[in-house]
Amino acid sequence: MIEYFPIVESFILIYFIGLNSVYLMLNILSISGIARYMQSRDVAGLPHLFSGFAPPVTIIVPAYNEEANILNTLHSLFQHNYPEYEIVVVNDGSSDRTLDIMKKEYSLVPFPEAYRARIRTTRVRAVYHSTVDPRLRVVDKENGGRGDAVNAGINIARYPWFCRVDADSILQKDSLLLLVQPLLEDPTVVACGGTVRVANGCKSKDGIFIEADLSRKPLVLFQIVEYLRAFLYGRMGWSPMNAHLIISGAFGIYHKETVVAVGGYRSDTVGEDMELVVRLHRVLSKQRKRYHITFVPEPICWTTVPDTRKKLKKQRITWQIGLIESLMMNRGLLFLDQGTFAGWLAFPFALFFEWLGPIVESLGYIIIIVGFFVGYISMKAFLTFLVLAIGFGVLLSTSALLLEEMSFHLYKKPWHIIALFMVSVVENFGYRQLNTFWRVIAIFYYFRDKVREKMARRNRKRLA
Amino acid sequence: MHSDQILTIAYWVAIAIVVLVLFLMIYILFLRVLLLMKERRYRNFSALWRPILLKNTKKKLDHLPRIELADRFSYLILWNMVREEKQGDEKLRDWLNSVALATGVDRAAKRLLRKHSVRKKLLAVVTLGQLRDKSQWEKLCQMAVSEHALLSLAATQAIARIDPMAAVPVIIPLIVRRVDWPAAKVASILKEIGPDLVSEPLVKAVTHAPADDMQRLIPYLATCHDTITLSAVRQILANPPDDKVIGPCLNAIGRFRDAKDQELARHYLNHPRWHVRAHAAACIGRIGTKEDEKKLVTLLTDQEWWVRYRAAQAIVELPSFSMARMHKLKDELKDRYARDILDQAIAERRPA
Repeated sequence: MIEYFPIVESFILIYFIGLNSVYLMLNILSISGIARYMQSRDVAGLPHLFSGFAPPVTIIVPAYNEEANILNTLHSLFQHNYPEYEIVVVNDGSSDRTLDIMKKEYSLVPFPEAYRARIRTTRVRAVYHSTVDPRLRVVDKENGGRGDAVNAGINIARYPWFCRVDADSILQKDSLLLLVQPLLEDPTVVACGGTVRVANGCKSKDGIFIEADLSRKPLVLFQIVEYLRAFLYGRMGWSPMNAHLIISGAFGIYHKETVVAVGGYRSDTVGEDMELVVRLHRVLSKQRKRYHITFVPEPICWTTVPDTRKKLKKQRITWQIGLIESLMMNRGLLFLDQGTFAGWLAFPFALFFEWLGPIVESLGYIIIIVGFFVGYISMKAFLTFLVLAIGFGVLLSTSALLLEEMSFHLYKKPWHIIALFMVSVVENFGYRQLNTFWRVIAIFYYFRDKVREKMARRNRKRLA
Repeated sequence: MHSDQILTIAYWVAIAIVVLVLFLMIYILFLRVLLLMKERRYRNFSALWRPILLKNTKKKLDHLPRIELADRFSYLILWNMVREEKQGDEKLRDWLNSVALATGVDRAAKRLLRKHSVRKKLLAVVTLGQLRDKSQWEKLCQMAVSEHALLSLAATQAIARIDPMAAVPVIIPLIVRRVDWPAAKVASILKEIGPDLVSEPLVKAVTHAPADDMQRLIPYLATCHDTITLSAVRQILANPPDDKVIGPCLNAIGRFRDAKDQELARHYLNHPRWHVRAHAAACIGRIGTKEDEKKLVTLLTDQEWWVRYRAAQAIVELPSFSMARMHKLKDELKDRYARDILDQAIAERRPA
C-alpha cells in the first residue's frame, strides 16, 4: 500500500494548490469589488439618486410551522421603507397555528382569487386577503416543500419582481431598497441576492435589526466567521464574473417572468435555492441571453443559525446534499459551449472543491496521519502540512475579517474584532474537520439514497 | 522536483502564511483605530456644521468656521444631504447656496470633477447640479454620454437642473439611445424639466424612433402636455409600426378618458396578440360604455389569464356596473374560468 503514497500525496498537493489558488483569486477580486462598492456607496446614498424609481416588488414568505416567527416577520416587512410592494405569505400545510395567528392578527378573509397555476404546485386550498392591510395576501396550500410554496407565491404575485424571504429572517428597514439597486443600475440583472449575516446575539426589535453583537456560544461564533468568508469573498469574488451559483433562500430578488420561463423552483431537491440559480445560468447561457445574477455586498439580512451540534449537523448535511443535487440536475452547465465563467470556472470549482472537497480533505488528513505513524512522513513534513492546511484556513478567515473591516465594520466594539480573530484561528482545530466529516456523511447519504431509489425502481419494473 | 525541495518550499510557504496572518491582524487593528478616529472627527464636524446648514444658528456668512482639508469631502456629502432633505424649502435653498459659495463648495466640486474616482466625480456632478453652476457645462455634457449608467444619469440630471432649455437637445437623443437608464429616473428628469420644454422634442423623438425604442419611450409622453401626448399617441395608433407599440399607446389613451377614442380601443379587442387584447380591455374599462359589456364578456373566456383578468376588471369598471347586474351576468356564464375571474374582479372592487 505504501507504494501508492507518492501518487496520493501528489494528488492531494495539486488539489491543495488548486483550491487555494481559486480562493486567492476570489480574495483579490473581492478586495477590488468591495473597494469599488464602498466608493460609490456614500454618493449613491444621496436620497435623490435612487429614490422614486424602485420597481414594485412582491415579497413571498414561505411558511411551514412558523407560528413563533410569522407575526414578527410580517411586522418587520410592513415597516419597510419601500415605495410599492405586496406581501404574499404561503402557508405550506402547516400543522401548527401559523394560519390562525395570521387570520386573527390581520383579519384575513377568504378571497375568490382566480388562481393561475403557471407553475404546478400542490393543491391550493384558499387565498385570503387582509382587511387590515390590503398589501397582505395569504395562500393556504397543501404541504409541498419550500420550493413548491414559493412557486405558489409566484403564481399569484402581481408585480414583475418577487423577493423571497424566509420567515425567520431579520431585515433592516432599507433592506429591500438596497437589494433592488443592482436592478436599477443594470437592466440585464435577473436575480440578486442579499448578504446574509448571523442574527444570534444581535439586537432586534419587532423583527427589525438594530445592532450587531456577538453571541457567547462558540458554535455560533464559528458560523459568524464562516458567513463572513462565504459572503465577503465567496460571492463577492464570483459576482464580477457573473458566476456565483447560489442566492441564499433567506433574502433574494428575482425577475418573475424569467423564473417562470425556466419552470420555477423544483420541489424534488433540498437545495432549491441553489438549484434555481444554477438552472438560470444553464438555461440563459444556452439561450445566449444577456443576463446577470448578482448580489449586494451590504449586510441586509440577518438569519438565525443553528446553535446546537445536532441542528448544525442536520443543516450541513442538507446543504451538501442540496449542492450535489443542484450540480447533478444541471450538469449540462459544465463546460457549456457558450463559454461562461459559470460553466467553465464556478461549476467545476463547485464540483471538484465543494462536492468532492470533503472526501479529498478527509483523505488528506488520514494519509498524513497514517503516513506519519508508519514512518513514511517525517515530523518536519507532518508539521509543515498541518501548518499549511490550518494556516491557509486562518489566512482566508483573516482576509474575510479584513474585508469586513474595510467595508461595513458592523461589529462595533473593539473586542469584537479580537474575538473574531481568535475564532478564525480556533475554528481550524476541530470545527472545520467536523464540518468536513458531516459533508462526507452527506455524500454517503446521497449515494445510498440513489442506490435505494434505483433498486426500488428496478423492483417496481420487475413486479410490473 | 525532489520531495525534499517540495518540503522546503512548503515549509517556507507555511512560515509566510503565519507572518501574513499576523500582519493582517495588525493591519485590521490599525484600520479599526483609524475608523474610530474618523468617526469621532465626523461626529464633531457634523455636530458643528449641520445646525449651520439647517440655519439653526445665528452664525453669519462671514463668520463661518474654517473647513479643514481633511473634512472637505465630508462637508460636500453633508451639504448635499441637507440640500436633498430640504428640497422643497426655498428659503433654506438660498441659504445653502450662499453657504456653499462662502465655503468654496463650487471650487471643491470642480476639483473633484477632475478626479479619476467615480465616487468623487459623482459627488461633484450632483453638487454642481444643485448649485446650478454652468461653468463646467461641457464636461458635464461629456459625462452624460459616459458608459457608467449612474454617472451619466447624474450628469444628465445636473445639466437639466443647470440650464433646462440648453439641456433638452442633449438629453432627448440620449434618452432614445440609453436602454440602460431606469425608466422612472428618466421620467423624473423629464418631469423636472417641465412639459413646456419637453413636449415638442420628445414627441418628435418618439414618433421617429424605431419600434423597439418607441415601445420603451411612449410612457415618457406622460411628461408632455396632455393635448400633445394624446395627439401623438393617436397618430401612432392610426398606423402602428409594430404590434409592440399598441399596448403602451392604449395605456396612454386610457389615462386621458376621452370618449372619442372608444372606437380606436374597441378595434383592438380582437387583436391576435394577447398583450394588445389585455391593454385594449383595460382601456375600454376606462373609456367604454354599457354597450362594451358584451364584447368584454367574450374576453372572459380568453385563453390568456391576463386578458380574462383585464376584461373582468373592465366589466366592473363600466358605468353599467351594479351588484345585481354582476350576479345576473355570472349566472349566465357557462365557463368556469370566466366565472372565477369575474368573481375575483368583483371582490377586488368591493372594498373600494
